[in-house]
Amino acid sequence: LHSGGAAAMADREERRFAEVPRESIRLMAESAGVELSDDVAALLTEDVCYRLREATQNSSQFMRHAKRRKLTVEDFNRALRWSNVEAVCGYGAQDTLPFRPIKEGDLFFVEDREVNLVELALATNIPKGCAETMVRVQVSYLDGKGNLEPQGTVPSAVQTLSDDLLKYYQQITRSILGEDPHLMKVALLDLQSNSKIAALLPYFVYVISGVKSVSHDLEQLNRLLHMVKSLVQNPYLYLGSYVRSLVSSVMYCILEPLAASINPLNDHWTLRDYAALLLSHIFWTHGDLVSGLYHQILLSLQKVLSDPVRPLCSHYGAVVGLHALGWKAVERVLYPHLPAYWANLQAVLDDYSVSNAQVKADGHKVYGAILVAVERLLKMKALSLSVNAEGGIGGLPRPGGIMGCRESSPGLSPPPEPLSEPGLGIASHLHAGGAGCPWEDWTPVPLPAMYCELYSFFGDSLAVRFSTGPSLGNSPPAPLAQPPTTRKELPGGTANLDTARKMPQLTANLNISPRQDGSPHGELTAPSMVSGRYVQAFAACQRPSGLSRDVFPKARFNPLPAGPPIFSFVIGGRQMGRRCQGRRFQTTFTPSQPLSAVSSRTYAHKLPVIGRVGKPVRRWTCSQYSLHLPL
Amino acid sequence: MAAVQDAPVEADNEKEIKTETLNDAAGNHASAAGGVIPSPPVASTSSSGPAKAGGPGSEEQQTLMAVLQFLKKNNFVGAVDVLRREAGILEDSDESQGQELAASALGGAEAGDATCTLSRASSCTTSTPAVAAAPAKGGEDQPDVNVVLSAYSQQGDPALYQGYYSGLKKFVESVLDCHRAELSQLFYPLFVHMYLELVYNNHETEAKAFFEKFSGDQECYYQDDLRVLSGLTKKEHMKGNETLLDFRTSKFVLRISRDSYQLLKRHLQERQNNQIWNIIQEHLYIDIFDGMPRSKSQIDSMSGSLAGEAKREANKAKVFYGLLKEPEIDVPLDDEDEEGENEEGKPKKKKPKKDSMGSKSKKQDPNAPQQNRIPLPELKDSDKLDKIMYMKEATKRIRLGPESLPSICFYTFLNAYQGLTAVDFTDDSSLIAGGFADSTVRVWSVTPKKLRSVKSAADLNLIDKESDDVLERIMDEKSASESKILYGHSGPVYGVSFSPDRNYLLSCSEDGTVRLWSLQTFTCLVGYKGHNYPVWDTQFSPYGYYFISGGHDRVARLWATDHYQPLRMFAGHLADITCTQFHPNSNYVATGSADRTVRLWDILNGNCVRIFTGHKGPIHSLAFSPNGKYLASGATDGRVLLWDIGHGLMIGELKGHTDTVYSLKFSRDGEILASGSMDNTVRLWDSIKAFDDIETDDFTAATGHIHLPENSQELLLGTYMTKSTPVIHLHFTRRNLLLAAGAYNP
Repeated sequence: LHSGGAAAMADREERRFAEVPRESIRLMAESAGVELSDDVAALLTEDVCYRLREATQNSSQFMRHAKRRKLTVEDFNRALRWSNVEAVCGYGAQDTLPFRPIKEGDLFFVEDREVNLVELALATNIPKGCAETMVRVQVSYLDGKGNLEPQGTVPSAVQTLSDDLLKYYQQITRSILGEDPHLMKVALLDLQSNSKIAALLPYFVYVISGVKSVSHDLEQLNRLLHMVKSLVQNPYLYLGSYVRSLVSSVMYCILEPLAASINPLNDHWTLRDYAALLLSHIFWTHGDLVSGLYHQILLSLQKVLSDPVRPLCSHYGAVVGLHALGWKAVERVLYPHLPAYWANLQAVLDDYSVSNAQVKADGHKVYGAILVAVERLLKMKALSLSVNAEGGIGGLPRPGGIMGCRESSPGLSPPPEPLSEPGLGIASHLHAGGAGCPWEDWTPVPLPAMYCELYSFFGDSLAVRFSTGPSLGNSPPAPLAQPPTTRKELPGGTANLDTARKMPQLTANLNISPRQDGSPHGELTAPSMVSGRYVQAFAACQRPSGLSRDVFPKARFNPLPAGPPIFSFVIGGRQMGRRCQGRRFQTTFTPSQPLSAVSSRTYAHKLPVIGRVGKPVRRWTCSQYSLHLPL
Repeated sequence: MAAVQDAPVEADNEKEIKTETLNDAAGNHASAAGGVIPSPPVASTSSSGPAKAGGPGSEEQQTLMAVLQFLKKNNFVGAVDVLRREAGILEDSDESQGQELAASALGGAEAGDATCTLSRASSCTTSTPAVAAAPAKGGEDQPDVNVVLSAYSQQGDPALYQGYYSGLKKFVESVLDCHRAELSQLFYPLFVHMYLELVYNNHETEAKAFFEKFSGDQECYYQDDLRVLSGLTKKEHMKGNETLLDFRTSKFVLRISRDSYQLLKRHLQERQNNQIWNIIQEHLYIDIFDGMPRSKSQIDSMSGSLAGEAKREANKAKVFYGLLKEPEIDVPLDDEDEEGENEEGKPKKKKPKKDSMGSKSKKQDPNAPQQNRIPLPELKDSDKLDKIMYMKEATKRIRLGPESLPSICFYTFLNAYQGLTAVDFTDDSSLIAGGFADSTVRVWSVTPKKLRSVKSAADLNLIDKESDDVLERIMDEKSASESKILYGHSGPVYGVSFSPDRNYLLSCSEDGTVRLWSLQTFTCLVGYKGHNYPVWDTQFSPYGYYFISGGHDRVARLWATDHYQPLRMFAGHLADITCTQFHPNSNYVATGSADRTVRLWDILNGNCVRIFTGHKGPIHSLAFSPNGKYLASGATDGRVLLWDIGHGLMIGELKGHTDTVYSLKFSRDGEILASGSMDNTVRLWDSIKAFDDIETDDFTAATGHIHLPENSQELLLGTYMTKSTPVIHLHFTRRNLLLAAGAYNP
């Protein structure tokens, strides 16, 4: 029972007090092995409520005398102890514990994260737990006169910091926002590892919130984002509720039609990609600090996506943001919106007028981003289904060999895999129903249907993208590895596609090859931006996959087929049964591409076989439940 | 006097029961406490009440029976005889009736426990078992008395309660404006008691409806109590509910002018409204005064406490609020003493000292207590040295005033993790101590001089005791550090206090103990056990040796450092004692309580000499003005109230803080009052002006009610923000620099 709940609910008008429902009492009694009749339960309920209120009232005294504003579990326990009641153990944290419901079971619980002690014990960077309590004195007001003016501006506020901190703050902000890239790097590095800057956090957060005022300056935006990154990575900083502020700054960079994007020469796309990566990183590492963050992020992304008035770059941001948040976010938000959105995008892309050229280019960006997102969605969904069908791969060694990131994408790293592991994500209760059904009022679309629908939008381009299975050189005989015979030609196609496609500035997400991450259980690959020093204090389920990285990606793209790549540039999709025509891309492709002997139709026809859900398990693992098919 | 005739006995008995409950729960001390507790004013009224009671109604008869029973069980043969004679009761009738009564009562009590349908007896207190467990009191008799005296036994028609109440409401609305405010005071206590009566008699739905209908009418400052009440809908819950106990054990005191009272009485008699009349008789104490009815604002400023206003007699006692003569000023003796010490340079220093103090202390203050009214410890040489230092510093003191405000230094506790609960500075501002929620007490040196402990006994044997610097030699240089941590408590430390000579530190904690620490060895010397509940505050006397502690058990205790049991116990508060403060002359202590009253206790005889009401929330800080005349108190409602101790009146209200005022301090000369609050501000107030603005004529007026000027804004000299740091302690250095302390709370 959570003490805070009672106090908070006491404010409500219509119901003066928190009330424990009778069913709960009965359930609790049942769990203790007692059957309660109706009237007994009613009486007990009332008594329980009263006792709870009494204890809460008593506990507030302990809070007042400790000169705090926040009622802690400790206070409540003290009140219980002094009224000779057994204390509630195990929830003594200073911070609020997220208290969340599982809708299906009518179950409410305090989230209790697992702590991997082994990992904690072997960690090389042990965060300094508690700094020594100390007293520091400063003359605040001389002769009764001091900074009586409102302290809104940062500089004057900073002045009350100690000299050292003030100096540090000035140096850091100056070098990060200044001209010298080397200095900036040093400053960022320090920001990332300095253990004594907790007091400055609010000021840095404030500086970062300045993104809104420099939206014309890509460079500055970039630097501020780097600052966010450094702060987020600093293991000594407890971000607390500042996460929200950081997230909103980052979201600004992702979603807003920045002033910088007016000039097409400005590469704001990269900024958005980077910001999206950052967002996912913040979310995966600090998302648990603020409850409901995930939901909020999703909502704002969804809002942007569904708003046709927004410029395409905003939509692009929303798509990469969703992509970065994992395939579930894509499935939940992007996928349902796609039909509606498609029409708009189509219109843009079909407009060949000169005046539309710029917009159209933007449209292509969005198209590409969506393509990448849905592609991974399909892949991950398929994988998760296959794993589920196998009865979970808990006992099997995770196929590290096929968990790769592409190192060849310089400076850009794949976003972390989506986690479906409850206990890490803030919105884990949303996923509580299992890997497949994230939301309450939302039924997952079965994979085949999803594929069909997506195929109707993207046509062969989707199919082609899916051919990037592990290549010949991929030696580890992992259970999920594909039979080597199946990847003769298509890998080449991919490679060609990657190089040949004229999607300008294919950025982060587009460059990421779909990974065959075998596990839906949160194989959270450390993003490269973390540069290996990834804080894993609590992320018990995370597992760095260092091995896979060097083996796999190269092997995958090296073996080009001997013959000319069999590749069709006709990747226009058909929207089967829909009014609009498929999107045709052939004009944007170099005509020098040799036509393949096999038409893309061949693939397209066979693709629906992924729907064979009833197949034996063994078979599935062998074929990796992939869209990649033997020809 | 409108109080019911048999009231004193009732109050008396219930008070007794209550103290016993506490002490019994406490486990020990039951008998000791019974003996030491000074009787609160209520109880001091003579118990001959029932004898005077004329009406031989059956109710009264029963009461008499019960009292007789009680007396007999306790072998008060003489009293029994006298009472019987006076009441004219035959022996056998009393015998049989009494036994009958006792039997039914006990039966009821048992049934109550078993079936949760409480009889009148068991409801009266939770102490039925507790009393039985205290053999010294012959507890078995208590239920008899309780049966008869138990409140809320009257069974009015529950449906009519709303009618009664709204009838009264209509009446009050119809009276002349000048009486309306006064009579409106009745609403709250009546409301509460009627509600409790309904609940007590198991009319749950009626009670709820009654609450719904009329709770909105009550003054906003009763919200907290109303919240507790509204949760209370079952008779079983009345058991052991502290707030309820307070309502029942104490009479709610109202001050009403004679005219208004007559109006009320006439109305109730006309309407034959016995229900209300009974409640007024049983549970209210109406303090009637002659003169003009008070205005709404006058009433509002004084009400708000748990048990209404203080009775006027409660504040009539003479208080010697003057300061003691400074011992050094005993001129000839003093001179000899100090010259005898062979301290060179002393005579020079004494000159300014005398000058500075001369004006103040030469003439004997007529309001000062006798020098030896309370035995005070002899001054040691080191104390005299310290006094001299004090004088020297005092000459450099800045005179503060509205034009010259003090500088403020803020001592920020970093990395306290929300755990800092109490702070104290030494008088010379050389040490700072913090109490923490993790049960530790930490002491820091504020000066560059590090903290050193004395060498171990073995090492001490080795040093040359004749050497001049022996005091230096006994210190262990290896132990020097900026801060020391004192471990010993087993619960959060809620109060710390340095002894004036800086040799000791007191700390009190949730574990129910007060600990005395040596600042020479940094070890615990004594653990004072007596409070068996959390101790919220403790404070050294300005002359050392004595200290006061108060806590959850509602009893403040006066201790001497060399006694392991308390010297005095001050009982009377109706809720936790939240803060304590010594008067500068060490003859009095003030305690602030969660019952929203401040009480002033005389250390000599343990009497409560002042009750100050007017706060609307638990009081968390107290400060005496340096001249001992005034008291300032701060509460959770963010207001600071100023009191004149001599006259026992509220003389000022300082509004400005938006959260609990956790710290108050007068400047060394009393010109400025500084207040520190949870709202992250320090505010400075012009106390001279606050005291001067009061018309002294008001004090002599018969009614003793003064009109407070609304001048908070004029008195506020400055508001000083901190950086997310609640201010939990304030201290003026000897030179009038203001030190504030608190924990950074990001």
